[in-house]
Amino acid sequence: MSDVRITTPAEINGMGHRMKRKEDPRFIQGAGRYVDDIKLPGMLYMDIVRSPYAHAKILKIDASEALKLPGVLAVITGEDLKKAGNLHWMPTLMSDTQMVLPIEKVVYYAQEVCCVVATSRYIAADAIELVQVEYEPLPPVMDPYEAMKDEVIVRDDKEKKTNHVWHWEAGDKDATDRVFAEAHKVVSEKIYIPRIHVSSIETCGMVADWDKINEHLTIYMTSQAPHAHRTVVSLVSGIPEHKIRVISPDIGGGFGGKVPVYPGYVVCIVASLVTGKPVKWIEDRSENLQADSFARDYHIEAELAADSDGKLTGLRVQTLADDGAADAAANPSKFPAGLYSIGTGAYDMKAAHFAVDAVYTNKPPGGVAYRCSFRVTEAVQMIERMTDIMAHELGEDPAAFRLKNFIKPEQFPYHSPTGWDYDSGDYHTALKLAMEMVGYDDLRKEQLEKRARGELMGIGISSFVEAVGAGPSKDFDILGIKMFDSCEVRIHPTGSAIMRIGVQTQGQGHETTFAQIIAEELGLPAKDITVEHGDTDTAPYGLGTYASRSTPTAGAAAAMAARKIRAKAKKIAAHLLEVGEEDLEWDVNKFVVKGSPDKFKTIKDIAFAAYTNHPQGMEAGLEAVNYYDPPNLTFPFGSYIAVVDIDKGTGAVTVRRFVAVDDCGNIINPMIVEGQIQGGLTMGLAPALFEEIVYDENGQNLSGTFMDYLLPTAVETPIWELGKTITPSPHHPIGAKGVGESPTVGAPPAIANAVVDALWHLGVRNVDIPMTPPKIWKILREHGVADEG
Amino acid sequence: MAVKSCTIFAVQADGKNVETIENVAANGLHPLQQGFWEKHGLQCGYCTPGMIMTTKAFLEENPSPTDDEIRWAISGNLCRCTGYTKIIEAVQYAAEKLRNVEEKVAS
Repeated sequence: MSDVRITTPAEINGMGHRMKRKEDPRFIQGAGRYVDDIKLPGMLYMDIVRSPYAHAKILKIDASEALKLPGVLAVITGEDLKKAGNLHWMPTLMSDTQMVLPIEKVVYYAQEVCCVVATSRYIAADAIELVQVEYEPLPPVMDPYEAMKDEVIVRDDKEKKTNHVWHWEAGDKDATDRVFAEAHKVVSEKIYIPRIHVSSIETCGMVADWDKINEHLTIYMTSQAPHAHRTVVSLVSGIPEHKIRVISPDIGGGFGGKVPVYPGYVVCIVASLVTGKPVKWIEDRSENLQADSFARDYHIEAELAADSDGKLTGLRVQTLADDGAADAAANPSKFPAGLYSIGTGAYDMKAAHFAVDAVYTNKPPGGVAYRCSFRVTEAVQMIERMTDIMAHELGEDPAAFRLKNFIKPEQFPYHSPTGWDYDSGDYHTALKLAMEMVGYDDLRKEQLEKRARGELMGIGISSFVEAVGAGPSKDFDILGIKMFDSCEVRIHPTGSAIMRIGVQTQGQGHETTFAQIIAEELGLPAKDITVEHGDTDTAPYGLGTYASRSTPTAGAAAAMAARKIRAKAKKIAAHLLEVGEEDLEWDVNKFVVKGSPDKFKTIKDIAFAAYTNHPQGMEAGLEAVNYYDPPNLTFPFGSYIAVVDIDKGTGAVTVRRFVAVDDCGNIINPMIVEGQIQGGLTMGLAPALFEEIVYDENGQNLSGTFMDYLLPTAVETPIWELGKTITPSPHHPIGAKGVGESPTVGAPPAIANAVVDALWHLGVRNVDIPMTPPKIWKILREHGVADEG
Repeated sequence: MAVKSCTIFAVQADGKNVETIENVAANGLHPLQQGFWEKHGLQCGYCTPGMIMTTKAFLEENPSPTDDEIRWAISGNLCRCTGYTKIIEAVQYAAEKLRNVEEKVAS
């Protein structure tokens, strides 16, 4: 099925309508209100002194010169935080610990060392230059394999003097070993997925405002999860939770980078507590790029087994995860490697086993997502590369090989060898559509002709499966807080409404799409429904927006809250029409007496009656709350095909065509879904070709500016050709699955497979991303095909 | 001329007319603002004022651009959300509207 289902007229704008976004008028007229737009009377400014070393003892911090500068009010060090109640350490979301400000040593380049609070941003910036810090450099450990030797210990604050953080396994090892022993063909490969950074255009920041008299803390924060952050602030600071209000205003992109709690936030709060004034802290670009949480950094060794018919039978994966100086990922607590074990992907195989070890190195902490549902990108890159290698090794066409090995539509719900229950899917239809759109057979002919002429052209496929919508409370929590999400809907007497949700938009368009869900369920025009979020004083508790979870969790909560309202509305309609509830049926926006189409009450009539003429014995009003605990994750999927040309003179890879067929279940707003996919594909192109955070042997970040860390501009971004299939989620109330991250997850292996496809005949089996011109040119040269003239 | 406010000193703007996103339209919405809204040319909105001011200056120089010319015109402005596709559609939408206004004025 590929037609978007629409059941409401345009004036209602329920699901399926390309409704223009309700949030846009403020953004296109310069009235967006981001954290840096917050200006409070008497506000002070904070700036941060950062470490020039990746690993060094701190001998002395001398702030005397800085404190002499007029306008400087305070310099806050780790010692100060210790005295204030051991605030110099904080818990991470993965129950590890992380320094807020160091006392003994620094463990990564650009680490926060101390903070200056001043009356202006400029004075604060000048003052950090006057703080004298004496260091004794220590040898850093930058390579995770070296870290495993424990010769240099990153975290000597810990009882166990080892860099090893955790070991985690999924799947059945013995069964997998048996499958490999019986295999007809086994391929193995080392795949490195480098460290990358989300680089949202807005950096992170905060305004903390401590009201001494009322002992109340208001925090404006670049937060993807304001409620979770309020709870963390309360637990760390001891300030009662009802005395803390976290406001996440307009957010200039998140992509996972605004889920963790960074030291700067904590110190900003302390600075306000100490001075009794509002304090603003906004990172500059390099601070954001050098010190905030990264993504990926997985060193993968994978093996894939097939039988004599070319059917995949098993997958065996070992991985070393470079966690940096703390395990500060934002994974659900039972899943230290996230949902990595989804890595059998779209393929039906007998057995799989994953083993992951995480180590500390002298890099900034993290392991947060880069627009990805908890390590699914790593899993998809691995399985899609491995599948392609197997197809090529067996001499089979990569598309035909996938079609042969896909989980079949009739196998859903599908229980994967690592324990996941895929809700629904039709992988064959998606790939066939992508092949038709791109003209696959003709491209293969063109490739052969070009190869005969010595030209390098490749076609790459990625048939990915996502796992999003964390998640069911039996398995998913962060710091013990279950990963439900919430919605509260209140219908006003005149038939307009307000809804509040526990998730927080960073550009996804929640103010529009969530209104459309209510419009669909209740028949109220979406334009008449205000959507509020991001303020912990008003919104119901929720775990926030990341990992494509908003629609699967809070979107479901919205539909369920609306259905509660509709159930009450039915009682009121029966009362007004003087019939039994069983005599009524729902029709878009009204209850109609069965068989009497002229006897009905619209939702607006009913809303008015709920406040003016409700049945005796019934509570007045028309509102509902739902905290939705999803029964399962949702499993969006798609098939992408990239066509690349490689310049033999420069090594540059040009993505000539890119066809993306996505299936995200039922669609709320096709325009917004297209925008999510186009943006997500561009964030998939980025790590495939351009982005990598690189350190030298001393731990210096060599990619700490946008001159070195290359975000795609409009010029490098290809024309995205989109197609879709629609396979609703059977367990989600509106059949939706989530879409924001699918393209970022699915795109890199399509491009990587295309590049390797262009080079396979030369003997190239794998090229790690990013596939930069120098890297490709070197490969071409090694194989004697580079144009060196 | 479109400039980044952080790279211009106030004194450099002495005697010049400064336009910002807040006063880009005399009444209602400028065609570019309409285009960005109509074509979903923004998501988080953070890059949007820069995109609109850059393309406003660009369309004054080149009222009938190709998509590729628009891509080059905005290559100094990063957007992390949209993948640029719908920004290009928004600029084409505005270009057409502006051309129609020009034609009406001419006739």
